[in-house]
Amino acid sequence: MTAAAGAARGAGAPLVRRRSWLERVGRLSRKYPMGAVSAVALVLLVGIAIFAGPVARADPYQVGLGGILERPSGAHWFGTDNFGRDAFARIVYGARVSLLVGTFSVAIGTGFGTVIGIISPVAGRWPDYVIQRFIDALFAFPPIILSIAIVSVLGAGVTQVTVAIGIVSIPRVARVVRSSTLGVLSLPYVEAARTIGARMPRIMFRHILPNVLAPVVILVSAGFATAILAEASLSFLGLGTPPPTPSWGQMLSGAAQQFVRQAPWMAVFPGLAITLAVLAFNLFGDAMRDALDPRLRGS
Amino acid sequence: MKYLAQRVVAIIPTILVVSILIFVLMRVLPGDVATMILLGPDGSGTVNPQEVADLREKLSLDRPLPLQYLEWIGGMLRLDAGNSLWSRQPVFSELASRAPLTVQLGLMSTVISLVIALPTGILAAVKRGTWIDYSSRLFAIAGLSIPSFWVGVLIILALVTYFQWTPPLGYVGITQNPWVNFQQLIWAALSLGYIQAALVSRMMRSSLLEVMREDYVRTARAKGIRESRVVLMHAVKNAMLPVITIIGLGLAQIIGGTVVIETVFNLPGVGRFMVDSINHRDYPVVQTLTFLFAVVFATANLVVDFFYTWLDPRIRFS
Repeated sequence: MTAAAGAARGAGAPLVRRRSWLERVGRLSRKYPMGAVSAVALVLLVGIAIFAGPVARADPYQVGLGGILERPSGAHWFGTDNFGRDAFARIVYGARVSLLVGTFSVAIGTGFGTVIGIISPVAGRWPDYVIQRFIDALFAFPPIILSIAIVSVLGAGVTQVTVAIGIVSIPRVARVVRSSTLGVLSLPYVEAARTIGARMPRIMFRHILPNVLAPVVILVSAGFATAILAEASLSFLGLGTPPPTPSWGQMLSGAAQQFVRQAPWMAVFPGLAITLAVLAFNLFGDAMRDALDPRLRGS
Repeated sequence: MKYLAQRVVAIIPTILVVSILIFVLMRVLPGDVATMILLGPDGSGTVNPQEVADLREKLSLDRPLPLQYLEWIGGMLRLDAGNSLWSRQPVFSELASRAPLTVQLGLMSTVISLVIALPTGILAAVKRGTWIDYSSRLFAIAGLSIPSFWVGVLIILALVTYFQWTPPLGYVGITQNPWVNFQQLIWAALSLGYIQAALVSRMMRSSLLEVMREDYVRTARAKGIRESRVVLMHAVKNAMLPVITIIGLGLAQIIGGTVVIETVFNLPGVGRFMVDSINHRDYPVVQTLTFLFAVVFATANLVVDFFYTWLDPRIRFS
């Protein structure tokens, strides 16, 4: 792209100057300031998760680094917990768990949801009916109850929690994709593809898929927010990430409540981390929805 | 009436599929259920083949799957889900002693959420673009991002720090001492209600903003009706439909939220029962509770639908 633009400029004065991506980002940020702020926050969050080691400055597993239940100080920014572990380090490493669970559960949810949502209306009346009843049934559960039930079967662990949250997020994506697919199916370009003898899989994935993805992109950001909250809730209940792996939800359970009088910081910082991360994904999702789908603006 | 009858009938296949899903889910456990129950949560228990065989028989695990399913679902209809493996009490009698707390908690949370959400949502729409609007929206987006259990933990922190509050040891039923009971539940209800309020307030605002642009609102104003009356009697009533939809959807948050918040405040309700049962590997109870949570959610949505039709004659007569 840049090479082409450069070549065009070299050849003479171009009619329309192509905007560099920096300019475009600048324009978008002015239009959606909350989106820009949240995007920066998300980049920071991902950076913290990737470079957890250098950021944390301490080993999140190391017991007795300072005294136990030490208040926040220059040495331990967020204080220490009841085992004398550095709370800041644990929160930094906790970002890894949250983002890992978020990434893979969203991948499961959007992947399966999109495929089911496209196949269902194309497959014919009866398969569609049966698939939709299953989707209805999945919607009939309060989400957290369904993920708790799945985790109760699979057992506690990061992988299990990811799978549970991923499954729970399938129906929403499937329903959105199905309704978009229904809208696209009767459009001329799909009919044209059919007329020239394209086979169904090709039509589904080359012609329909690219045209139903926009609403899915919006669901992805909200999906991250939901997944992080769900992982935190499950870990809080002791059904998610097992100790000693640091996870924000788990840091708020047990000891944080037991020592709430002596060490209130134990109950404050992990919750703040969850809230800020979820808030960033929510705001980013809102901004993306506004940018991609102007009809929904302000709703 | 016909519409409502259709809605009632329509949830039956959903509930059936739900029951099959749960049944299948509980049967795909990696390993043998009886062995896992006997091994205990940390896998340290001892197992001999005779015990496993006895437990399998007791749980009907030795029967064909369709028969097991029919037995379970038949038991549900007779309100008999067998005994808890942990307490050895009938599951439904355990439920009967815990359900009132959870139902009360759910209702209190819903009332709190509406008391907060409707005025803030309406005010935000009416005073659009002012600090009232911005703070109300900030409160709403924050509510969507704060986990309810953290709100609970923060409330406990505040109570402990400023009021020397100590968590109550025993739970007091509403019939025993309504005031003590209220004090025990109000903080949990606030933690859950706040989250739901955020959802509803956001929808109230945007729905009302849309309605305020309608012709009939202009007509009402042109007739010289006071603005407060225009908003409350003409606009809000018509703006309520999407709000009611979101209240119905939000009930999932409240019902699911009770599980987490009962753990925070150490309340012996159905949610706590669910978590305890998972920790005790009491799979028959987990299976039954999961099913009942789904049934309650479906029924609650049906009630929401009733309100919907009551408010909107167009649905009733079409």
